[in-house]
Amino acid sequence: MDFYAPENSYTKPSDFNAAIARIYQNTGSMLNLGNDATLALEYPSDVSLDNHGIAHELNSYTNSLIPENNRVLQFWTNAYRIIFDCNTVIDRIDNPEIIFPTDKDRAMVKAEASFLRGYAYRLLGILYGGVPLVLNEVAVPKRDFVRASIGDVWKQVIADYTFAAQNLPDQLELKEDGHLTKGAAQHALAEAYIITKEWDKAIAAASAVINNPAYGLMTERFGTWKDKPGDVYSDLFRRGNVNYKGKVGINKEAIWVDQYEYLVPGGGHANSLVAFLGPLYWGLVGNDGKNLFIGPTTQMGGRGTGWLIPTEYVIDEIWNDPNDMRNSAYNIIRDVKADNPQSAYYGQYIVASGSFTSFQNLLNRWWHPIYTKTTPINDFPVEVISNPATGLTFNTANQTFNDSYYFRLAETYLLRAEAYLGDGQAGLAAADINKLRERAHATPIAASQVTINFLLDERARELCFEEKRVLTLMRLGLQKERVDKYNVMSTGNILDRNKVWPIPQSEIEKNTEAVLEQNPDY
Amino acid sequence: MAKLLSTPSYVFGEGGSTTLGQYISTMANYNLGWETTTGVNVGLDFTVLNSFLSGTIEYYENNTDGIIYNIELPRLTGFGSVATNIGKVHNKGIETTLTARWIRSGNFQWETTVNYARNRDKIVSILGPDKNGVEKDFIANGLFIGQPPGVVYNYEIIGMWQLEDKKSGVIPNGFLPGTEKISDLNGDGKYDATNDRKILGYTAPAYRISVANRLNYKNLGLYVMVNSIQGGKNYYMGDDSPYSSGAWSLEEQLKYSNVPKGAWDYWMPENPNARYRRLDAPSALNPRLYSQRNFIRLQDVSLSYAFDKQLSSKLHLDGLSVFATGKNLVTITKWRGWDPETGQGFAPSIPFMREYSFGVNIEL
Repeated sequence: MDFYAPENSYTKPSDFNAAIARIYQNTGSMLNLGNDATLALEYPSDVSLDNHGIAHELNSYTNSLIPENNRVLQFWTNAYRIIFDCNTVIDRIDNPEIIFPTDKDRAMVKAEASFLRGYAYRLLGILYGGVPLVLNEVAVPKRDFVRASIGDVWKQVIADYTFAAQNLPDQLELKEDGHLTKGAAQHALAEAYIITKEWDKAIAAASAVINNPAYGLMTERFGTWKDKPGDVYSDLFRRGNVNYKGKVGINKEAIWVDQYEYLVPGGGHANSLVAFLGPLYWGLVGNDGKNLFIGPTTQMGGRGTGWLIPTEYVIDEIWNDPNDMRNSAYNIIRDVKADNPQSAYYGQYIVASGSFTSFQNLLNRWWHPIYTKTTPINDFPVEVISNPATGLTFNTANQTFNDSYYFRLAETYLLRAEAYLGDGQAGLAAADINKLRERAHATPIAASQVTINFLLDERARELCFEEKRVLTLMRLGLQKERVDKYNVMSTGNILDRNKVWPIPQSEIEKNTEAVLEQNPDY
Repeated sequence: MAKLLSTPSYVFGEGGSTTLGQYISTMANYNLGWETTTGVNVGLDFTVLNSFLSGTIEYYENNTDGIIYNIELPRLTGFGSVATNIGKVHNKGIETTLTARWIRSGNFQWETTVNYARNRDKIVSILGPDKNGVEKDFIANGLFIGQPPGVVYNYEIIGMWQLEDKKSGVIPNGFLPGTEKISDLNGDGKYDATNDRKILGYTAPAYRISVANRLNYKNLGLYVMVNSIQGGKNYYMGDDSPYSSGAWSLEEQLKYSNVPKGAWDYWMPENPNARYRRLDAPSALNPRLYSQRNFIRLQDVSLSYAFDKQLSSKLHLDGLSVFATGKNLVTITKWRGWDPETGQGFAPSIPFMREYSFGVNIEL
């Protein structure tokens, strides 16, 4: 054969590494772009809403989350494409004609594919419930898929993660960051066992990560920004610091990181929360009729557009401890000085001086606090800065230009706390939460204070705009309750049926030889 | 044969280099074969009534087996579609040309030619019977047994939800004031794609007809051709809505782009009886508004004058004539977009060209 075809292209280890690289790429694109497509996993939630009105995108599940909706199809399509690619690797890799240096090397690649398949099914299980389990490469047209039970989906996720945990390398053996490790699989297992309410196993899986000496919460300043103003929490998100082996030193909190590399082919597109979550401050007009700002600048976090808006819950309500580092001025910037010399407010804080009216700032689009973990503030690449003297940026100052966490050790602690709470061990749950609070210099809490709502508050404090909040709320069955309570845009716009999303209409239509059941009440 | 693609995919580690990724980009279909057509074609050429009337009539009927078609697959397979020999398509049609020579005197000739064509396709079978021995429609590709391929299968629009409806709380979930009201075809009180879509019409023409007149009086010649495509009852449908191209969600976008004036008839509280829905947001099901593209077009007009041989030979020429022609001078249609024949709606574009030319023919 004189062209690339599957028959002659899965014959040596490098082919399988290439196939795996593609799956990593697709998994990142499915989850981490931080744009209107992937943010459906972030809102509507208790932490954020889409600013563009109730009719826009998925603000109203009642009106928009129907079998014909594009986002409903998009996550389904992307997840099953990843599953196909994983199945292709898993089905072909055990062929003895393919020579790997050792059996361990072969199992390692297979474990990566297994994990990534399980991780795709985890998304499908949370979003859609019991979906069809496709576990082999589909090589001929097939139209008779049927749904598995949700229990079987979680069994499959756990089986894939377990195989991965047994065969992936430990963090300290890992050659290149971005590849999966034993610790990542154990972290994922902890969440899966929480979903199946197997608390002991969840605790054991999380403990395996927490007790691994390779990992540890970062408690001292580190990395690329170490000698500049900041604190250890802000260091965790600085460019070059997110990977375990960072640009400068080790980040022992990084468990699994989606890779980004600036100006390298295949380096990907970093998270666009800079544009989507950042406020549209550079469009603010002061009460004197003049612009408050000269334009989007690097020192203000780039070119935000206020598409996604933090709720009052994540702006104010959860921050009740004045010493909490995660709410320091390095991490959440709540007021800034006007920088347009023409403005009467030049040099003054725009909020404190009352420089603009609230009418103009409808739903906080033009101004809301800047979450510095979502932007390379003061650290954009020189190529996107149009005027180094003033810091003015081009429109391309719209992404983080940084790697992003899938799993961070702080979340492992919160998962174990959740498992302890489920298991009735509130004291141990409090101890895990307090590990994070101690690092953040916040007051420890007592066992009696630990509830699932407190855990969600702590997750918001520690992980906001980092975890996929909708998935967290959906797996807990709390999206409707929390949105009704905390989301001014979407309150009252989630129905009982929305505890899972609908199955895409077109999939039901194309599956002509069997019935793909729709979820109830759609 | 399945195909494989390779592309720069990922960069592992801080300061790492490119890892090429590879993936299977199309599904193989090992059963792919040739398509075969068998057919009959009957034609008649005739000249009657002392050459007053002449013409051709052609009738054909074909059965095509195994047309290669990218047929949709559930995304569960990892793919969107696969090249497949689909079942069987039947088509038949008639094509006719008639010429009448009304006047054939020495100085004056007048003849009229009419062209008429009508074609009908019908899908006889798609993938064949399923496991239960039943052959089903393949809605995902818009293929229906016994119907032509270009089917308009959608919701039936019966009006527009208004602000008053919102006040009285009768607007169902998924709809907004200023979006289309649709029929609840199965009467279950819900609106969904499974039960509330039907065949509204067809995209193919019902028939085409053109009439050409040629007149010559002494040195003067005139040629006038009128062309028309008609949809009959429910053929030749298209979507001419301002949002059909997906581009317009704001009034401003219409303002700074070149669009036909009909685009402005969209719903606003001030324009409750608009033809098109509000621009900013469709209803969740997003029904489409179809209308027929029927048109009659004055497509060619040409007037020429050939000077007498005496004059041209004085100028040492073999021949000399002048002409004026116009193309696409008038189009009569209810289509609101650009050109009904291309089916272009309100996309930013330029109007269909009307052409005039004037010239002198000199034969040396």
